[in-house]
Amino acid sequence: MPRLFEPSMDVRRIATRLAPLAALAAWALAIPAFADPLDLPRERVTLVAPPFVHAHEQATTAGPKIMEFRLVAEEKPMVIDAAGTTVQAMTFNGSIPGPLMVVHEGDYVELTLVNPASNTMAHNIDFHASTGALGGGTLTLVNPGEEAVLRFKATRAGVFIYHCAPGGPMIPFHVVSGMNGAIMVLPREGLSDGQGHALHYDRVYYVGEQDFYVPRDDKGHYKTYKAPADAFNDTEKAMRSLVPTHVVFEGRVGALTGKDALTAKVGETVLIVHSEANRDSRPHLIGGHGDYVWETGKFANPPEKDLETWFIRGGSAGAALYTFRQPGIYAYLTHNLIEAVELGATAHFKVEGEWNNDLMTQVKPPSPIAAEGSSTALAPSRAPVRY
Amino acid sequence: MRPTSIPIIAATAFIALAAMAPRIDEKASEAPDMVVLAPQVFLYPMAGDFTRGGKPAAVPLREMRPPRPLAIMRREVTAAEYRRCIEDGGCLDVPGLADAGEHPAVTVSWRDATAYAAWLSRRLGATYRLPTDEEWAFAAGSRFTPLAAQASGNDPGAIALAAYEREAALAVAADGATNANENGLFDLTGALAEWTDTCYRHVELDAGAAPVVNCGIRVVEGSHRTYMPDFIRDPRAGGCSIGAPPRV
Repeated sequence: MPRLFEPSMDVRRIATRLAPLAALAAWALAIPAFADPLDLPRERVTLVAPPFVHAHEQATTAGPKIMEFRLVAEEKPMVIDAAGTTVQAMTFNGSIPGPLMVVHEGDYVELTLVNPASNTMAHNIDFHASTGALGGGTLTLVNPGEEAVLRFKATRAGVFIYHCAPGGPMIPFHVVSGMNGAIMVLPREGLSDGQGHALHYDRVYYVGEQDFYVPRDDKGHYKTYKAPADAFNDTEKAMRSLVPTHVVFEGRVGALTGKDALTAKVGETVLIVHSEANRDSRPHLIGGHGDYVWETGKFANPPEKDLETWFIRGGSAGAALYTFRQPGIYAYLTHNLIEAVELGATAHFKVEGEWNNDLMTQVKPPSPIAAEGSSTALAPSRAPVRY
Repeated sequence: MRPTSIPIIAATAFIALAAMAPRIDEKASEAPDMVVLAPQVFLYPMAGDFTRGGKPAAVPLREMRPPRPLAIMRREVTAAEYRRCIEDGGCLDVPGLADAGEHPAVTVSWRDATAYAAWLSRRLGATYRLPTDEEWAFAAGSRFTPLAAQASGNDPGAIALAAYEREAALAVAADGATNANENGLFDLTGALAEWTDTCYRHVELDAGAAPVVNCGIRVVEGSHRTYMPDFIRDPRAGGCSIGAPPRV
């Protein structure tokens, strides 16, 4: 693939100053030798809702492309827990988090951001993976009934947050109402361990962590509102407490458990992309590990190995690679266990395969405590034995 | 596909009350709807853990017969009924009580349930209490499924997966009208669990040693039998390191 030459401002300035030659310069700019990025092959990507990720190559020998994505800002009520607590959510494409986009380093991301006329608020998008214009935020601010198209070059490999940032207190309000997601910029040659060995995954899941600050009424019950604007004043007060009422994956308590639990097989390698646009988190896989973890999420840095818990800084995404070695149920959660168990940030993996007795064996099932010299002994009892 | 809405009630514990030979008095209009069951012989898989020579043993089956007719509530105590106890000072407020009054009272601990029974007894001048596990089993009849279905073999992974799938498949009975058992009792095997008064015990069958009994842990019945500390209001917190249970 030949190295591309982009028409620079210098070329244009020269063309302007040399007025008599302007026509010639214009002609020169138009010839194919000055290949514009628009001449690159284009690929339109159909996004899928998290935790799933659209089909993509892990490594590619092809040259850079223009990757076309479409995100629609969708304001709608969403239920975030089993008690039916409902928030006026703001979303990208209707899911919290928004969908994970995947491109390769050197690709161009061309995003169409749509704000349907049925919405009530202005929205935009700030890509942490992009360079300039507040991450694209100033170039994409769209009112209801408008759309904008942003193109940026993916110059750094890693997983990065994107989020709505329409200015002032609307920034945290939109983010904690659900308007955030992530993009994964893969190295063109794919992932590696930093020591020259390629790393691959059989599955990839995107776990988007979301903190909610739902206002309560005088009796302590969660309030509901008719529209995002109605919720703002109370929500801002709740936000300022910095104490979330819910911390969840995929927008609601239990979104990745039970029938919606994540799946894998023994021997499969899973990449878990984890983002939190606003607040710190501590992912941990109960019963497993992170074999290779890009804690800060940027693939030019070598991954850490054999981690028990890793740290996702608020406003960043990280990635963990793990090969399941044992079947059964795993919990993937934030290891602030109060947030995981009480506030909702727990997912489950169902892993099928053959049990490895060498890795773990139940030597003795739960039984009465054996005292020295006798086979059984009484365990402490909180109440008199009555039998 | 993910559903767009979630049932109001999570997998939580609620209470059923049994009254042995209640005296129905002037406050009968407030008295719970009771089913009276005539004594019959039934086969009862005993509650607790059993070992023989230190290894897990099959749960012993006992032929049992209630000594007298058993009067037991047809359905669970509702949120509205429980709230009346709170307002009257007989019960503590609990965080997960449904707004909808006709929903079962959920997120109540064994202590809460016992307090409710004591309050109801005072109020109505009759003796109400939690059923023993034997009484619950007798009343549940054909719906009594104490033993969680086991995966074949002893693969811990397969056992865990089978248990998880079973839990995940449970659904809350939205309306008791369609799921009565042959005794006319409702909601015995949904995603909710019910407290019994029976204490946890561990029995070594061979040694002749006294069983280990712990009344800080009570037998819980529902879709299958389990054991929970008496202060637990939300069974998700019942000691499972997996954390949040399958969504219902």
